[in-house]
Amino acid sequence: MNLNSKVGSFELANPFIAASGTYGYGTEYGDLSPAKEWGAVILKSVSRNLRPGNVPPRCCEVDSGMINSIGLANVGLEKFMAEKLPAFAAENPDATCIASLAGETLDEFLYLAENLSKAKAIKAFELNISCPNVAKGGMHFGADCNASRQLVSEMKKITSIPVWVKVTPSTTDPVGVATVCAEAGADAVVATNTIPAMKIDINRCRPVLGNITGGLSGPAIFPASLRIAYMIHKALPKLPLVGCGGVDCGEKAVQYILAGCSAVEIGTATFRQPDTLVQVKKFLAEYMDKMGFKSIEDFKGLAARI
Amino acid sequence: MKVQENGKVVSNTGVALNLHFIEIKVPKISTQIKPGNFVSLLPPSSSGAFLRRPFSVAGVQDGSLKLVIRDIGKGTHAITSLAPGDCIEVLGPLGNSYPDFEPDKKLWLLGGGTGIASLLFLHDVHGNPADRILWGGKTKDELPMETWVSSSITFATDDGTRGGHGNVVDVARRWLKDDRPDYIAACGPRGLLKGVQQLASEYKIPAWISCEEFMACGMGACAGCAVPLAVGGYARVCADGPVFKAGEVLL
Ligand SMILES: Cc1cc2nc3c(=O)[nH]c(=O)nc-3n(C[C@H](O)[C@H](O)[C@H](O)COP(=O)(O)OP(=O)(O)OC[C@H]3O[C@@H](n4cnc5c(N)ncnc54)[C@H](O)[C@@H]3O)c2cc1C
Ligand SMILES: Cc1cc2nc3c(=O)[nH]c(=O)nc-3n(C[C@H](O)[C@H](O)[C@H](O)COP(=O)(O)O)c2cc1C
Ligand code: FES
Repeated sequence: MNLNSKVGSFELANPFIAASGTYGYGTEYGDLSPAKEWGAVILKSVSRNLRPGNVPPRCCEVDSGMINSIGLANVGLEKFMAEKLPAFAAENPDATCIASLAGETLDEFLYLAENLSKAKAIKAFELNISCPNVAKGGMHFGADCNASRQLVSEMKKITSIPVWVKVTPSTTDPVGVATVCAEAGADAVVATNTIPAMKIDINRCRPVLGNITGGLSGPAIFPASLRIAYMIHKALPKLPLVGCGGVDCGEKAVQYILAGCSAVEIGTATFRQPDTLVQVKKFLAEYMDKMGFKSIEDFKGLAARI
Repeated sequence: MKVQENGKVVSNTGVALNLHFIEIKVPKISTQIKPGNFVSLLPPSSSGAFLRRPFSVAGVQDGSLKLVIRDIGKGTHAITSLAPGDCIEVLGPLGNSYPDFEPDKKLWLLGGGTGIASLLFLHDVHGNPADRILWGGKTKDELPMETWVSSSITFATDDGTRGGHGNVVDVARRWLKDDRPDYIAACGPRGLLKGVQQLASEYKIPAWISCEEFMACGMGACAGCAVPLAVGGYARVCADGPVFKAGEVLL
């Protein structure tokens, strides 16, 4: 069975990618979910300077998922390059690593890309223009077509590393955002990030999260995220697409592929079940065997062709 | 090394109001676990709980972990309803552990509610007869009968219905009138930890506290379990803790 997949010209040994922010700096899971078993792993979004993150509590559970307001807590570019990347590369020489960039401004994004383009371990960039938990940058960037277009085209001028754009579900026009990204030369679009959400503690009569609101992830968002991926693929069938949101089993991953995705990111499910990857790979192989599909290409986007 | 193991419930005993002592057989995890470490259990999916639930380990015996679990919600309700022979998935060992205290040093172990769990384990492992262990609750119904615990435990209740009258910090303060430990270890509600932190700095006794925070991954990967540090910034309770030197974290 051939589980290889290609996101544009970017080759993956299997279509499953660890989602940014859920796989730390790639070493935390160790043997419970080794980086080399994933098609690729996306490390925690990195910003120019260290970000301490939002006031706790930063997470809570809801039906079939969770809400987080981590606030892009990360070690900052310098430490990322001096410590985190080398540690990752030393432990995982055979893994494929993608860096997630989180800038508040165009300049910050370009600064990050310029520096990270020098790091051999990084094989692609994912631009996080869809984080709901920060005041500047994040999804405010990603809901603005002009800002997105400018970001991607400037980025393509300064780096030869593939540029993926992770779009927000929090816009009335995700297809419009994907379209400008494609026109500006994005190598792939990732659909999507968490959905803004909140929870209230009825005994304490106040919001549970320190940041009041956060981003919903896990199976709860799967149908909504799938629809966005599907709509983007329908409108832009040639654009390499990566599905993200709510995958906790092989059946949901297959739905993203049928909707037109070449790869599927998995995040929250790994918190609950570190061997999710093993299970989705097994399911995918059995599914392809049962359906007579020889490769991912054989069934990618089938459900969008009717 | 952290492992995922399918555990088998060996025993589950209700010992006080909503309080259970549960033994789960997980040979691989139990040989590695140290006092202070925790494990995360995957509640049965019928419970509606989505994420794993973290619990400190109260001891090991014959390849089993001993847990002290209070039924406070859907996950803990499902776990405290398990019967001997039932299976449950366990991930561990997680987090750091208490330091290896020198055997001849005197420890005071101050626990509130289910915070007693990791201290029972530390008490077992350290084993100095001069150590003292104190278990506090709001009222007598929250605490187990003598038959369930070692006779060396002292109890205290806020309402004075069992053992010393007052909270754990009040009782420890009274003890300090004619005794003094080399080290303190404490675990329990935030108020208790704050009080212990204060007491330890007042009497200049080195102390360690074990913290709780809501956890998503429990593995250090998500930064969801942040606790503020005195020097600024945050630590992850699941990976940098749960045990911290008193004064290190802001409570
Ligand atoms: C490192 C660590 C060690 C722990 N050790 C033990 C232990 O030995 N024994 C034990 O009984 N419990 C322990 N806990 C707490 C235990 O994890 C929670 O009680 C459990 O996760 C609650 O799950 P639930 O589904 O029953 O509650 P839910 O249905 O999720 O919530 C019910 C109510 O409890 C509150 N709650 C949820 N989690 C916590 C928490 N972590 N602390 C305080 N309140 C909470 C919720 O806000 C809600 O109001 C520990 C927690 C941590 C982080
Ligand atoms: C705790 C947590 C932290 C996250 N941090 C980031 C991040 O730093 N950058 C990013 O692009 N997405 C981040 N995400 C979003 C995930 O990458 C993913 O898009 C989202 O969780 C939906 O996928 P899932 O349902 O499989 O988790 C985070 C999600 C969670 C739950
Ligand atoms: S719970 Fe994820 S880092 Fe602690």
